Amino acid sequence: MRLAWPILQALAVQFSLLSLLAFGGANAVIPEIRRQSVAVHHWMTDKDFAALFAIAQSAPGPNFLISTLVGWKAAGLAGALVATAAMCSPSCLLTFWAVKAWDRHRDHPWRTAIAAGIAPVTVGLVFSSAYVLVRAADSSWRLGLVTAASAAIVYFTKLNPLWCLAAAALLGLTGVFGPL
Amino acid sequence: MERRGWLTPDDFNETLSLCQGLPGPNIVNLSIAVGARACGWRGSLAAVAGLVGAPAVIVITLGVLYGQFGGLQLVQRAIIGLAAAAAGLVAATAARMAEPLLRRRALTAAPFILGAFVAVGVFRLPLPYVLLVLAPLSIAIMWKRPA
Repeated sequence: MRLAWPILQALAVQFSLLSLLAFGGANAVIPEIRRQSVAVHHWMTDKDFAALFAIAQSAPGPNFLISTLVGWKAAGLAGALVATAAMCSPSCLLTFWAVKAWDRHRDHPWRTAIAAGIAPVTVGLVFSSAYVLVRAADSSWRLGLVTAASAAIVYFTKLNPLWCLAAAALLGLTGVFGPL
Repeated sequence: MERRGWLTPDDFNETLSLCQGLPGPNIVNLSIAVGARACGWRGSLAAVAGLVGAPAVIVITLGVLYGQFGGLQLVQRAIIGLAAAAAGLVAATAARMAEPLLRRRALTAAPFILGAFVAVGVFRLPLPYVLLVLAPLSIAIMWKRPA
């Protein structure tokens, strides 16, 4: 396998940076991942991105695995490994260090102010993620209905979200949304 | 964790809130913290490998399958339904996160929720710059008037 070094390098840089910006987890950086992989680097189309995100959501495991799929799409297996490692490592090192420091600064007022201040920004970013995914995925009003229904079901009930994903995929198989 | 006596429930809650305040995937951060408390950096490494290893293999396998068969009409049909529902899940997550904030302190939270949404979602501005502007402002406000 030939390694695409410039792409691997770009993946490493992008995802390491995102790792440290991902306050609130991977859902907060979906728009930035999309912007980098679709608009900046042209590794894929908007549709591909929505599909890969859907695959990452339906698979078991943490949802930052979208970075694994983006890496794979951009540069094959090596890309997947580089992107996954880059998405994990910086924040992992930071967390490891923070746990050690935690006991020394247990009740520091800055800590609560930082956490409380970042919370609403994170929420806005997750709304952005939803919006970006809706724009990429919902090419017709029928698909818009599916999005609205799954959002409502997950928000108002305790049903496992996987049921929504499975139902939507089955509905898709019938062809009511058309092929792309 | 309770079963193995690595952490008490209180320790766990405290560790969880610490991890949620740090950047990076929360669940990965949590496994780092728990691993570190159980047996240092080796514990952390083992915990992350255990958490990420198998799912990463599964997701890559799915990606490869999608690459092979993604062109088939049947697969495309299923995937567009799946993608629409997945977008809905994220919207529900956002709404769930927003609800307690808006209930407790709408005045200091709403402008930043809206600001981040408009900047990153609607105008698609680069995340680092948006964070650089909004986060310090929001933190400063919470520093002056704690919630």
